[in-house]
Amino acid sequence: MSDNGYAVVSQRLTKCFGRKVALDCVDIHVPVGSIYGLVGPNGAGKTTLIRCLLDLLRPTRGSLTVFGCDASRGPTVRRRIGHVAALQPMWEWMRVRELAKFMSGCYPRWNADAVSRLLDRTGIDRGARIETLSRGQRTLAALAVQIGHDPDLLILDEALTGLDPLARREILRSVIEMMHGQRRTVLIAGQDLSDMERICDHVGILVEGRLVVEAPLEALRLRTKRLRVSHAPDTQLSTPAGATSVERGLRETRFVLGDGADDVLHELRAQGLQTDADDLSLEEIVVCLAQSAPAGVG
Amino acid sequence: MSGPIRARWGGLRLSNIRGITIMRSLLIREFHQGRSLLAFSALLGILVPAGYVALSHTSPYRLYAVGQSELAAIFGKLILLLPLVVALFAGAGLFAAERDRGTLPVLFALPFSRRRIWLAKALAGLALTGTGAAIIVGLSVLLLPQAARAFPVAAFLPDLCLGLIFVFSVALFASTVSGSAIAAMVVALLLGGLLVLGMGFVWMGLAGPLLGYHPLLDLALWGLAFAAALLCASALVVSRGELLQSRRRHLLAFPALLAGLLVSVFLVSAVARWATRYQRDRVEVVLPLHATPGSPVLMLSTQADPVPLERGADTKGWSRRATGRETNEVGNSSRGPLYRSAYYVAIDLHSGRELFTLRQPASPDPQGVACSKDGRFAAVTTVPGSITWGQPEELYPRPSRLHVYDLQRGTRLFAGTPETAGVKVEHIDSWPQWSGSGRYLAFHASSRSIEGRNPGSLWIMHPDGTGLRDLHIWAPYPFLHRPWVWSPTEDVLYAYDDEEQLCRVPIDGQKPEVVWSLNDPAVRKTYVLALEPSPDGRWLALALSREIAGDPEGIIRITTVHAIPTSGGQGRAIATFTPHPIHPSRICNTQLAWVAEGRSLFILAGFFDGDNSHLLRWHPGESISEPTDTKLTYPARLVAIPESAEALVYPGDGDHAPLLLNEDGGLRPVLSAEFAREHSWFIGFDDTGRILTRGWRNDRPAVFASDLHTGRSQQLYP
Amino acid sequence: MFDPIDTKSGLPFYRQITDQIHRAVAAGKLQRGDQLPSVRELAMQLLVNPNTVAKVYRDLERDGLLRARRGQGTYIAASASSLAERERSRLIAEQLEQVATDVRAFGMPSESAVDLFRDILTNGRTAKEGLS
Repeated sequence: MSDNGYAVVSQRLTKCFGRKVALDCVDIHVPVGSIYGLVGPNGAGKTTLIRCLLDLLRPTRGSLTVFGCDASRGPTVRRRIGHVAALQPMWEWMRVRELAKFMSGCYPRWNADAVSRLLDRTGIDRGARIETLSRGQRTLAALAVQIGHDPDLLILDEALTGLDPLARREILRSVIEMMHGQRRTVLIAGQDLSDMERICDHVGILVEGRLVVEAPLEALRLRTKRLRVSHAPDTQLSTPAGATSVERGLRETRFVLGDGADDVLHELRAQGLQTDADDLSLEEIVVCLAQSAPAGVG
Repeated sequence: MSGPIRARWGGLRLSNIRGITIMRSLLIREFHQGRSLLAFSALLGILVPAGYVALSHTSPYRLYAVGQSELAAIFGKLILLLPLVVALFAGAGLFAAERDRGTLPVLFALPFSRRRIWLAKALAGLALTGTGAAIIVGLSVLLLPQAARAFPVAAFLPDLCLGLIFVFSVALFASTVSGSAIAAMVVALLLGGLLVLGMGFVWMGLAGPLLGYHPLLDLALWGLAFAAALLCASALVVSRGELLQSRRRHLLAFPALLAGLLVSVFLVSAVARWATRYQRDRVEVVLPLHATPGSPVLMLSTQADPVPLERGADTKGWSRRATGRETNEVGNSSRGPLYRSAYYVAIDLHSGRELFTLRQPASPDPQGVACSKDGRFAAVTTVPGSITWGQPEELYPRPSRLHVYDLQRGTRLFAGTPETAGVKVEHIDSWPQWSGSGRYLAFHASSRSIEGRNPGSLWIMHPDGTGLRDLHIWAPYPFLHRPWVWSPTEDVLYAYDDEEQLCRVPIDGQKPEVVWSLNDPAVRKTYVLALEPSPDGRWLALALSREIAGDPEGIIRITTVHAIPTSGGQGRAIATFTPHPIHPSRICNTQLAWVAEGRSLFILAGFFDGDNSHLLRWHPGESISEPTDTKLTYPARLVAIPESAEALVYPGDGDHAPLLLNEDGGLRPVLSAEFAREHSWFIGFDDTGRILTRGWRNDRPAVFASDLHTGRSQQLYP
Repeated sequence: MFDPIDTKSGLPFYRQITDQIHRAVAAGKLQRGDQLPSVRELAMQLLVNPNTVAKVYRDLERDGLLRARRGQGTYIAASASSLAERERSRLIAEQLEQVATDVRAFGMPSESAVDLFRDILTNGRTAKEGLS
């Protein structure tokens, strides 16, 4: 059961719901020990992919392995996976400690200290019923019990969406805290890119079911640049191939390049044009890619 | 390895999980989730006694004169029905509520296979149901010990358990296909009702003929089979059904359920059919059928495998096993115990072994059965598909099936509904009769052709089904007491037509001719008590009871015996019996017996109460019969001993010995009164002159053949 | 002690943390022998990927600014002070490059820019009156 250093690998993973194609030939690679951000607009297929990981859905085509095991071997794989969802549905009648006790009996490993630490830090009363907790507390409680069973892969599916900044902060802190050594992997799916940008070291951008980009975040940021070219008024500058988000102003043209920005920069400067390169935030990168994704997928 | 292994390492607890430990966590959680149901059960358990007390003491209810036993019945019904409500709630909430709350994906994301989750939920649900039921019953019994004493709670507990399992299974299945707990309960009620009513009628109606007995007798078996099908289907839906798409879930669920039900029905049917197969030593009821005098073969209707009597009932009381009914006194029920296994058996009267067995359809009354005199053929008419719900009439009248068997070769010569040239014999409604040599079989039946329906006529047929012919004579026996018989010459039959005339009916298709008719305007109704042709075929003896308006009131019945020469000519009355002195409307029981190849006719006539019996003798050629010296004071049967000049007078009570009647009219006792007492049912004679009786051996009915002169008996069956 | 990471600036986090450490050393806020928070602590504090912090520490250790003692944490190295000088110049140069880009973009003559800079250095603030 070798995993080749990857926590999750998929090969041409495809999932169709009738005629609707939710995932289209996705080749995802989540390295062990990384914090992988799965980003994309609504309906891009992030939750579908995560459900396939958990064997809640079976792929239509292609393969999906988690830690070297086929994802369809559900229970074996799920023993090592923790999952926190957006607005996590929970059994409202349970008290926090009852939930912890139940979870502790379900998994082979249980770290009661880690659970206690997180609950104490966030001030969640262990005897409180889940229905009395705020939204942020619910997510934190859910995260606490997931961390408690010491998962090798922790999945957060839009877990930060709609939470107050304090709760978000706590969640991020806990995620960072559990990254002990290189053993654990975290997969965060979401839309709040400013948070994900901070802690992710790998990123995969899913647009309309296709994984358009997958790369370490640093490398992606390094090679994606916005170039600003100053030129004479009303001059039509020919943009190089692969340029996206082209904005033409009176005296300046801007465009984004996903690759080879340095070469283009030098070339333009050699032509005597005043050119500058800006770094882009992850949010801007995603927006550009989402706009440039070809239509009619599937 | 026993128990989990725990190790401490850096604050983490490692444990070696065994299957049971994982399940326990799930089970505890599931049970914990259902604790409100237990509170609800406790509430019901208190409300029932409170309601009972209110009913007992509140004066307005006295108007309805609700008696103590009725109250006990109401109490009993409530504590048996309320746990079913608990079962419904317990089952319906299992998956549907999780789906509603959205926690089903969370549950399925746990490191358990979906089958294990289903199992945990099903077990926990059953545990909740059982606990809730125990709370209700326990509280009710505790709070009202007197009512509990009046109602045999313990006797109905097995039925309650069955009901709980069934309702729970339906609710669990409904839960796996519904989106919310309320929807699940609605689906469960509809589905449960459908199963009980629809399956109960449709499947039982079909399974009845398949099995040969009334399958609802084994409600427990069917209930469990259906419950198993429901549980399997629900497990399949949970483990295979896609999580998100409800339409696909339904497409999987209902066909799976249907398949499961079909499989369970066929499995149970097969098992039941095997379990009720004919086994001689388990036969408990032996009913001799229609003994052909002088035949070496006897047909019996046997029954085995009785349905257990109602618990707590007196074993002598025969009450049908039904939940909720109060115990019956002895003899209250119109029917005896119900038996699952009923077979027609033809036995050879010398070896006692079975020549053939035929499973009877699910009907308590035997159909028409007849053996030919030489014991070579047997004919059985059956009416398949009839369901009797306490009424002898069929709910679904279907064409009769006629089965003809060659007993010596053990083959079946004919099976089916006789038909010829577009005419189909629909309903054979009398006991068929074989001609003397067995060449023909005659029966009365209604038929249908393209022209329409013929309500009734006599038909003849060869044993193999060929030669089917309508004799076009109404012969409405047995409804109007108009028997029909074969002539010993086998070329004619004697039967009544629709104008109440006795006719000679040739079998070759010639028109029937009237041999005798009663033309008396004063006669209002005539009953034919006996019609016996003489063995040489020259005479017909006819016993009639005529109804005449009486003075000053009521009706008077006069019984006469006529002798009619078959060659033509006037038939004359050879005996007349006066009406009963006290009850003139009583029918005088008249029996006729020819002996010595037709040389003498004996007449035994009397009223059922044994008073005023007459035993008369007549020789053909004489004008009137002669009374013998004997006056019997007890009911008896007169039967001619085949191929002899003697007849037997077999007593109807056990206080007298049978009498042998010779041609001169002399009577001498044979065997003994004790014999008559032990062998209370006289069947007939076999081909060697032995007397066939049904008596008792070890409290079980048995068929005996006894020698008239030595008195030695041989048990032939079982 | 560390400033929060600015996600909007477009500057890589690695850069920002490294610069913060350099500034702190240059300004004397971190001196030789001072202990830095562990990788995990700093990551939790700044809410960044621990790998990023680890990379910073590794590179700075390679540069000689930090020294990591096994099991005891990360400390400012003795040679920090000598590096400080070099770093100071580099940091200033970086900022001046930014300014130079703007100057060019606005078309301001170099002399005016230099004068403006001298003014600010002397008076410590922008002399509004001096501009026309």
